[in-house]
Amino acid sequence: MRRIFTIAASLALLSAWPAFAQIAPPPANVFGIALGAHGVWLDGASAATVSDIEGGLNARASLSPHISLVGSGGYGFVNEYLTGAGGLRITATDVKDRTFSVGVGIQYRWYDDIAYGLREWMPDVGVGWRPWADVPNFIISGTGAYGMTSKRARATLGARFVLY
Amino acid sequence: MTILEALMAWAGRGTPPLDGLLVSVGNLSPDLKPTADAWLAKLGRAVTPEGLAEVALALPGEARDILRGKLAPEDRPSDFA
Repeated sequence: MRRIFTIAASLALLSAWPAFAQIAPPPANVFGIALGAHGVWLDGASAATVSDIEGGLNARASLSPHISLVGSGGYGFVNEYLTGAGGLRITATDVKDRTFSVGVGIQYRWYDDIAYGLREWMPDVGVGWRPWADVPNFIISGTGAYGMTSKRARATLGARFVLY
Repeated sequence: MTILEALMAWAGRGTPPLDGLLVSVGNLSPDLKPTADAWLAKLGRAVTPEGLAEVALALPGEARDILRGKLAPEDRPSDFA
């Protein structure tokens, strides 16, 4: 009896999976927010290399086909700091391609402790990729940025789940 | 040098940190290397002179529309990077 129930429950879950996986692509709203985590790599000629795992939220206000305001807030789990950023991003690739895009821009980044980073403007390049059409809310993301005051590069590689 | 590398150099670094990171990921993990290589290929092809010219031409009009309150959002994964 238990075996029959287990098989029936497994079949029910398997049949429900396509409905769950085929979440409709998020509409092109002005505002969007995503939850995620990423690895962080910092380097610089005179600064110690710092690496961390950050988790937090990313938000955007898509104002036009190419122009967005972007921002983020996060927590570094290894070195235990708060960080955030906000600025402008311009899409440099096909704006109609919802699966892959590259944006260039500039953001002001702050840390709650300057031991981990200065509060400074950072030109950046951001890359986003939706690898699976069946799960459009999942994005693989990467960034490369450079601190105009610290002269340090910052790279990230991680994942996002779009909430709205 | 690809266009993307030129953009990264504009940001102030001679060596693009994101490209270097992807190469490192591919070297560290054979399982991830195909994905990292695919990303590097996409990055190399994604930003073209024609595309940048199109963006440059579109920006003034889009900025004007924004100031007039005419918003035309698009869903781009890089906005969440």
